[in-house]
Formats: sequence, structure tokens, C-alpha cells
Amino acid sequence: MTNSYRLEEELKRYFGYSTFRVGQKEIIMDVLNGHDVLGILPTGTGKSICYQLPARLLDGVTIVVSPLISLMMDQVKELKAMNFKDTIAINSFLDYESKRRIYQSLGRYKLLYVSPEILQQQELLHYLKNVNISLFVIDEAHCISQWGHEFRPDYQKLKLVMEILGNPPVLALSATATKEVQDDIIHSIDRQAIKRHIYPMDRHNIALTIQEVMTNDEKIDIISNTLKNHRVPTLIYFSSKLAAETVSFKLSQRLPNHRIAFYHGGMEAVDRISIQQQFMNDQIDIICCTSAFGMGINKNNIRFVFHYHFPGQIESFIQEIGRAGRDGKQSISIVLYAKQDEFLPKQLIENELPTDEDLNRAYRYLNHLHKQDQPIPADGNVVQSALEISETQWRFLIAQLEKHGIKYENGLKYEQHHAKIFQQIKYTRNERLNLKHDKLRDMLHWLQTTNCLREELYSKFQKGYTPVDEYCCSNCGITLKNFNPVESRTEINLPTWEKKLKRLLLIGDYHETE
Amino acid sequence: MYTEGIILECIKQIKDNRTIYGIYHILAGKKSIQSVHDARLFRLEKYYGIYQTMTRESFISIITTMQKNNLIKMDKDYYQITDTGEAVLKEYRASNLVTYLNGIRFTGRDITFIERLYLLVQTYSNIKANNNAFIPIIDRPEITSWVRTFYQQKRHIDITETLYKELYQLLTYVSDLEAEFFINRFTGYKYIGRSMDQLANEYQLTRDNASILLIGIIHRLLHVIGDESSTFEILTDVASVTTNNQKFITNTANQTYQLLRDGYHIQQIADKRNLKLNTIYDHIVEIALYDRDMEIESFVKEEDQSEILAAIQKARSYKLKAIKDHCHDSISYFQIRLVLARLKELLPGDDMHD
Repeated sequence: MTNSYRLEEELKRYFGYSTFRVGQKEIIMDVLNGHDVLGILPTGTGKSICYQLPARLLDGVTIVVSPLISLMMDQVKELKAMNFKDTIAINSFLDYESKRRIYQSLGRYKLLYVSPEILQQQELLHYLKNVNISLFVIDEAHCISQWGHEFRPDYQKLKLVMEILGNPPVLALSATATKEVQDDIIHSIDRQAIKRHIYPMDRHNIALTIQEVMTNDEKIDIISNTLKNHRVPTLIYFSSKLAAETVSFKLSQRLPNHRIAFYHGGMEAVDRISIQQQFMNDQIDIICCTSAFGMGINKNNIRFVFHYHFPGQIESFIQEIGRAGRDGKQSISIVLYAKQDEFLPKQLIENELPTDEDLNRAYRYLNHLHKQDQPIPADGNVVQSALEISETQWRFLIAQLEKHGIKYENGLKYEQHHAKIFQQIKYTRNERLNLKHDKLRDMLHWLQTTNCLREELYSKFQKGYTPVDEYCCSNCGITLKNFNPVESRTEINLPTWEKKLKRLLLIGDYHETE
Repeated sequence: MYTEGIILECIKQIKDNRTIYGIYHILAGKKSIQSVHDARLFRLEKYYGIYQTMTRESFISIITTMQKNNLIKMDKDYYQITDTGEAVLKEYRASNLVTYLNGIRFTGRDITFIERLYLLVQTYSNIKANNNAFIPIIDRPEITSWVRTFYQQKRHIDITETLYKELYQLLTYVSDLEAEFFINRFTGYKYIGRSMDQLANEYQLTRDNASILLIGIIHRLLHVIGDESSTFEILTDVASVTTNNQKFITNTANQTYQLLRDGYHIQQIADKRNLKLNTIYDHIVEIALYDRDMEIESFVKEEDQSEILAAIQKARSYKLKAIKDHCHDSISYFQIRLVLARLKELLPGDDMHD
């Protein structure tokens, strides 16, 4: 069947690339032949082509389940920009009118991005059943596994969803999945005959360095000293919005010739798009950001990724440094490691899951409702604020309750005393906590190792790695003396608003100033 | 100093008649007849809704900082302006911004206008460069679909040159500095506009001041466009907005709504529009039906609402006559109709209601 496609030509035609990257063609061929496929491809090697091209070539609709709404929106925007007009993202932000309009004409889309939560809605499933689904894509498939670093309970219900939709062929994709997570994915969707395409995730063009520091000032010194001679696209990761903003201002003073901005999830939509696009367009050199930045960013010449704060797990770290050097050219990861930073990921872990006290409060709350003969309020926000717990804590609790048959949907009643169930929830909570702490321990272990950082970083994910001579890691010895990346071009700052307006609308002699 | 100056102005006008949150509601543009009336009563119309994105928390933090900087002090539960505060107020009153802002007239329209304009400029810039593939800087569907429709209607003519001329002409109505501030936010072909934080930083303003300055400039420009619609043909299109509320309401009811928001009483509106009182009542019921933000309290007091609700349940009917028979004589049909328009909110569990 695939013989009838000239895949390279189709790739050129739809995406403008003349060759496939590692793994893409193999995965696409199996997908086009109707096989179930598990694809593990390193970050930054174009996972999305693996379903975007088949979506163009197959009859019917390709459904993509994606965990992050922002990621979904970015991809749809990019595709629409490339004239893929028959692409749409369905999420809870759509208003009723547009949803209804879209649902009634689902069949006219080629590519349908959905969140796992929305796939639980009967209404959408009802319409999807009447549509010819050619491929069911599970993006970030590691979210299925509770051993994965980003477990999402709604992902575990995908098997059921696929059954309702008549078991279409599956493509499960991830950039970071250990062997046990891969097995868990296959088990969870129950496709034993799936074809595995596992590719090594080490990136030979990213040098790995760790610099231990005592204070935050020292971090700023290192960043400004490293960057003062290199004006190149750079990301600096922080674990808090405030730190990203503050350091962005401090660096602007230390590096007056660099264009520096911050980015985090708390900004308004217009400003987030503006900062992202400025970075893409080389109008910004350095972005101080939280992990909210980077998903779906397709900039290929990022040369430095700093970690002002290190993340709580190796999987996130690999994803974040994977945004560097997508053009294959030499790039550098620099972790600024201060011992006292260890409390940050610990705190994040504690805030992610409900404490004993939270669970006791939830128990009393449900019991109270039961005695008053009242249903659980249908609006999750109400319960969430009554229990004073965060959104992630609430998501965990709701998933656990449902697992134990306490249905939340439509505000169903709390039936009997459920003390035992809460004991079990505590047990599960402890398991998840241990898992997270183990992952943090792995991260810390890597930060403190004296062995080759490259060898250690990928050891949990694959056997071996491509050895690198000159720019391997700080433990093997590395110098940036000969590191001469291409500098960003200088933006011409036009002196008057009249000239700026002319440039905007490309009037008359605008190009003389370029 | 804009934000502080504006808040000082509000404190000066309101004195001890409202708590500090009354000011917040005016600036954030709370859609209640009360807030609009407040803005009228204390002659703060120009500040109504000029900072819609301000959160309650950030407002409180501005007030706290003003207190710390000794611009205001607490006196018997209300804020008083200090001498330092008076100096800031004086400085603010001398700025261009004072003459620019016109919240009550432009709130809501200002944001729609500017977002359309950002996207329109980006679109024409890219198309002129033969680039059809760009990521829109504004992704709100109501804006993107407006720009798409506009573009399709004009596809036979190249309006880029005219758009340029109009914008150029328009920006001569503000200072060079303001024009530059304004234009720096625009995105075009291979050039992305500044974010609000970047702008604030470049002009050494706080974020709040930068936001308010931008709104002020927009209000000034909208005013100019309104005055000279024949000079600004394209921009008049961009600036003409039928808001969400207005979408469902008949044009004539909408005119009544506008006057209501301008602070006129029902009788005054009837006189002004040369319509019967009953027609105006019809309009108000229509507005109450379609705009959930309109408060009905000023037409039917809460205790009267309760009485009408009780009457509806007693009568087991929605017939006006039946309900009225169960009410005191002082309750009018108009008031009953208003309560009926809001029945779903007032009586959520009512099974008689579909």
C-alpha cells in the first residue's frame, strides 16, 4: 500500500522538507499500512510529522490526543499558517456555539486535536462515532503510565474511548519513556501486536555541563560572563515565575547589548504570543522562562539552555535541553546547581499531591454532605475551594475517588462511609510520592556524579550512547574557548514612529533601512 | 504616575461616600448600573472601565504602595490625600492623558478596535510581502473572523497604502512619543511587536502606567476617528463595534440601553426619544433578558422581587394577571416582567420554568 505513496515527494509538498529525519519514515510507513505503532523519538526530531503527514494522505479523520491545551493551540496555529485549514483543536475553552458548529461537521476536518478530558464527553463521542477515523494518535503517551513523569488519569480511559470509536489504528508517541513505561503504555491500551520503533534519545550535539555555585548572584555572574561574548538564542529555565522576571531584569542590566525577555503562564495571551514570536524571529536573544515555555516551539538555532533551577526529574530535563540545537549544530546545556535549590522541587512535589490533612478534610467534607443528604457539588471549583486544595491535588483526588467507584459526574451522592477507600487513597498517594522522590533522587544523583554526564543521563532510557570527543560534558572536560556559534543579527531600531509605520506596512523606501 | 493620579482623582471625588472598592469597580468597568451611576454621580465617567484587566489583588497592592509612599492616609475608615499626594495629583492633571481618557464612551470598544487593528496591520503587511503563512498575533475568534471578513470584502482593492495614510494622519493627533509608544506594539512582516512588559520597560513606566497610557492613546484616537469619519474611512470601519450585549438586542432597545448607562431616568429617556413610557419598559425587559450583567435592582427592589417570586409560586402561573393578583397594588406589570426575565437566576430549582 505504501508503495503507492512517494513519501519524500509528499513530505516536500506538504511540509517543504526534502528528507525525513531518523525514524520518521519507518513510523509513517507502518502507520500507512494500518499497523499499531509505538514511536519513541528524541525531543526535537519532529515527532509531529509522524502523524501530520499520514493525516494528509489517509482518508478520514486523524484524532490527536494531546495533554496540553497550549501545545495543541500552537500546533494548530502553525498548521493553519502552513495552509492546513482543515485542522482544529477541541477543548473546554470553546464556547457552546462554536462547539456545536464544529461537532456537526467533524467529518470535514483531516486533523482533530483533542484533550483527554474532552474525550470523556458523551456528546463529542456521539458525533465521533459517525465519522471515519483513520488514525488515533496518543501524543505524550507516557502520560498513560503511572510510572511516567507526567501521569494523567484521563489517559488511562483512552482504551475505552478507542473501543467506542471502533478500535481505529493507534500511533502512540513519546520522547521520554523508559522500558517499563513503554510496557505500561502497551498494556494500558491493550495492543500487544504493536510495532515498536524505539530510537536513542541522546543528542550528540548538546554538550552537558554542570556548574556548582553557592549563591544566586554567582549564577547571574556565570550567565552574564558566558553570554557577554555570545549573542545567540538562549533559554534560561526557572522553577518560579517571580524568579524568571527578576533575573530577566538583572540580566538586562548586566548584558545591555542583549535583548532579554521573560515568559511564563501568568502572562496575557497577546503578550505570550508576542514574546514567543519575537524569539522565533530573532528579535529576542534570551528568554527567562518557566517550563511553560518551549512546548511546541520550533526554533532550530537555540545554542544555550541554562537551568537556573534544575527540574525535579531527568525526563523534564532531557525535554528542556532537547530544545537546543535542532539544526544539528553544537549547543550547550549549563546547569547552575546550588545545594540549597534542592528544596524547590521537593516543595513542588509536596504541593502536587494532597497531604494527610487534605485527605482527612476531604473525607469529613464528603461525610458531612452524606449526613445532610446532599450531593457533591457538580462544579469542581466549588469543591476545590471548599477543600482548599490545588488543581493538581484535586485532579488526583477525583481520579482516585472515581477509581473506587465514587462517581463524581453530575454530582452523584456519597453513598456510605468510605474510610477504607480513603486509606487506600493515602496508600496510592504515598506510592506516587515515593515515585516522585525517587525521580528527584535520580536527578540529584546525576547532578552529583563524577562519571561521564552523557553516559549517566541516558542510562535509564537506553543502552549506550553516541560517544562525543570534544564537547561531551563537564566531567569529561570541556572548554568553550573554541565555541563560536553564529551570532544573532542586529535588529535595526528605526528612529521615528513614521519610519516604523512605513516598515510595518512596507511602504516606499522601507527596505533601505534593512 | 498615571495610575496613582487617577486613583487620587477618584478618592478626591468620592470622598467617604463609597469604600475603596467602589473605585476598583469603576476602573475595572464592572457592568452594573450601580458602578455606572457612581461614575456619573462622582463625575468620574472618563475613568469607567479603563483598566479592565486589573485584578482586585493588584488594585489592593497599588493602594498599599500608595499608602506606603505617603500619597494617601487612612482616616476614619476612609482614605485622605496627603500633601505628597496632592503634588502627584497636580502632576497628573497636567498630563495629556487627562484629556485623552473617555472610559464611559469607549470601554470595550477600545480593546476590540486595537486588536482588530493589530491583526489587520499584520495581515496586510504579510500579504504585501507575498507571505500567506504567519501566526496571527491575536487569536481571539471574534477578532480573527472580523479581520477575515473585512479582508474578503476588500480583496479587489489594495488598501495598504490607504491604511498607511490614515494611520499616519491619525497619529499626528498625539505627541511623537505617544505615537512611537503606540506603534511599537504593532506586528508586521518579519517584525513582531513589543509585549506590554517590554514597552513598560523601554519607556521606564510601571506595567500599570503603560497599560493606562496605551488605553488613553487609543481613546484619543477613537475620538479623532469619530469626529472625522470621512477622513478615516478604513479606521471608522475598524472602530465600529456592536458589542456582544448589543448583538441580541434590537437597535431601538440598544439606544435606550445606552441612555440608561449614561445615567438617564426612564421618563427622561422617553422624553428624549419621543417614545411612550411603555415602549421604554419593553426595552428594559428586553435588555434584562439578554444582558445578564444588567442589574434589575434599581427598577424592582429586592423585597419586591421576593414578593413577586412568592406570588409566582402561589399563582402557579406565569400569567402576568395571575401573578399581579397575588401582589400588592404597588407592584407594576413592568416589575413582574423584569423578575420573569430573570427567573432562572432568582428561582433556580423552579420546575415550571423550562
